Formats: sequence, C-alpha cells, structure tokens
Amino acid sequence: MAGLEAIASFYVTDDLDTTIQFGSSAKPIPNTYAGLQLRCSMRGDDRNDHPWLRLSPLGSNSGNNLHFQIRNLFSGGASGSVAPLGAKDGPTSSIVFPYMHSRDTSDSYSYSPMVLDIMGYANATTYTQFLYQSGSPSIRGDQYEEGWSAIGCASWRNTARLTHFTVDAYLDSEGFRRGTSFHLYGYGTS
Amino acid sequence: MAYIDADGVLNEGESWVGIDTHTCTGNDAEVTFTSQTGSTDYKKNWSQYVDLILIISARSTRSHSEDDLLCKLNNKASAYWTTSLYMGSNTGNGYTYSSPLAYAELGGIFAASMASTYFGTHYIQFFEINSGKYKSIMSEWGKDTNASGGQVGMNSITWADTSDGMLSTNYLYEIDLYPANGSFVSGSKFDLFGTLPRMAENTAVAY
Repeated sequence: MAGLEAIASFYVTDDLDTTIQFGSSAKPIPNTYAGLQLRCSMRGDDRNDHPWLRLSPLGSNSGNNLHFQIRNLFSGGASGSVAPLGAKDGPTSSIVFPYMHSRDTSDSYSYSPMVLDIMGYANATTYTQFLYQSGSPSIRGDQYEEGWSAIGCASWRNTARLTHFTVDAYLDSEGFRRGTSFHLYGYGTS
Repeated sequence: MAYIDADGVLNEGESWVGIDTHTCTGNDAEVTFTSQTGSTDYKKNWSQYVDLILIISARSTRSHSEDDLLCKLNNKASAYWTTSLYMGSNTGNGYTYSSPLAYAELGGIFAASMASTYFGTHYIQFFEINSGKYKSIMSEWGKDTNASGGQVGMNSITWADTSDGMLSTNYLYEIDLYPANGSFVSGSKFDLFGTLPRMAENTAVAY
C-alpha cells in the first residue's frame, strides 16, 4: 500500500455546491488506513466574514452522542494578537474549524488552505480525533485586510467507525465559492 | 511514480512524490528548486502537483544565535503578506505585517553562536501551486535547545506578486530559499515533495 493514497478529490465547479460528502453508507471510506488527511483550499461565497469549515459525521450513529471539544490559537488582525478561539470545555452541537475567506474580506483570488488530519476513525472502540492547521492573510486590492494562523483539535465523542461525512461552509448561507477544492488522502500502512 | 509516465499517460500513482533533495556540502547562500520539463525525470515537472511540501533541517552561518529562513517564489520580490503565530519559553506571540514583504518569512533557524549540532526544522506547504488563485504557504517551524532560545511557530503567507504592475496569480515554478543574514551551513538538508490528486474515479468510495 502506498504511504499516502488519494481516496477522493472534489472540485467545486458550481456555486450550488454547498455540502460535499465523502463516502456513503453503501460505499464507506475504507477502514484500512492509519488515518485520513483532508487537504482543503476554500473560499466562501457569502458576505459574512470568515466562514468556518464544518464537518458532520454521518451514518447509523448520526445524531447520537455528537459531542465535540475545540481548542484553537489565533493570530490575526493588524495587531497579530494571540488568543484562544472557540475553546470549548463541553460538548458543542457541531464541529467547526476556522476559517476561510469570503467576499467580505478579500479579493476573489484569495482562497484559504487547511490541512485536517482525522485519526482513530477506522475502529469502533475509540473517539475520532481531529487535528488541523489553517492560515491565510487576505488582501483587497493592494491593501491588507486580515489574516490568521490557527491550529486546533476536536473530537467526535462517538466510538463508532467514521464511515462517511459531509463538509460545508458554516456561517455562510451561499456555500463554497467555485474554485474551492478538497483532496482526501489515507495514510497507508504495510 | 508520478502520474505522468514516459508515454504521457496518466496513472493513479503514489500521492506523495519525492521530487528532489539537496544537502549542503559547503556554505550555500541560497538553495533553489525549479520545475523542470524534459523526457527523463517526470517527477520534477511541477505542473502535475496540487501542493508542494518542503521539509528542511537547516542552520545559518550568521554570527548570532538565530537567523530567519526566507524564500522567494518565482524569483519575485513582491508581495508576500504574512501573519505568524509563535511561542518561545512560556509566552505565545503573534504578528501580522500590514504591508507586504519582499520575501516570504518562513520562521527561525539556529545560527553560528549556538552549538554546531543545533539545526532548525521546517515543514512548509505550498498550496494549489498550479491554480489561478493567490498562492498560499503554511510553514510550521521549530528550534529547541536545552536552554533558553527555543521557539515553535507557524507562519502563513499569501503571495500576490505585483512586480508586473498588477496582482498576479502565476503558477509556481521556482522556490529560492536563503537565510536572512548568512548562508546555509554544510549539512543543511532540503527535501521537496509533491502531492497528487485522485485521478481515476474511485468506484469503491462514494463522493
């Protein structure tokens, strides 16, 4: 098995692509990998600033015991101040990762990278853990607008195997902008 | 194996491709990687990759405890917008440049006044290098000692070259790496990888 296998690539070619699904109950994400990595280049199409990436686990356990904890560090704005962002010591209703640019904050060529590692997804005995990094200064014309560097983690407090999930642009009523892309990889083991 | 073979046929190759490596055998003022075309080594043609990943272990000749690791894309001196998150000792810090730099600030490495065995490490990702987007870089970096002076950080950069009088979204074909105030010492090592997308339809997984 390859060290890193490309499972699926998705390119947003229509602004109607608001929710993107990886795997299904009939064709689940294989449980043969040590972990998954979702590589993203994203932009929201709404005028809200800073939509988040939302990941929603699906499957037979959907709606059951969906609890998350999120901790982030944030460095952005002209001051470059550092602060926890969205830290939760208790369950939350959705699992979201900051951020992506949108029409309100940047030129239309500004897309936001994010790398999301998904570990412990393949078994039915441990919670699934998420670890992400994202960062992107944005500009409008030749002027700085805002930016961030962020790292964080979350957990899906459900021991079920993660067989399929969706991603969408949280806090963005118009979804991903055309040009957004996602590449899902699996960490292969011998 | 990259996905363009000798006959120009697309394959579902390894998704993480080792493109090139460089180890300094003397003091190198600059280390350059360039996309190549030709008929012998298809891995070095960057036009097939989504992202590039650069892993670095480096040290500077600067007469100081540390130096900054910088780079330019396509040998352009504008315009690199940067925000950084870093931590030294027990304090988190950050800064954002409200004006663009003439280079990408990737983070810190050790320099000549530190023991010669101390190198800095970087894990740098260049995103969507062949797209019509502004190019994005995320650089995770760290350098640790058994005393003060250690740091860990993450720098994020958006490159929107303005050298031709307009905001450019050029594809990436060259990376020039250099310390801000010295040269790379012998033993500094640079490994460049490319990531490939899923090419053939994956009928086993719905998406």
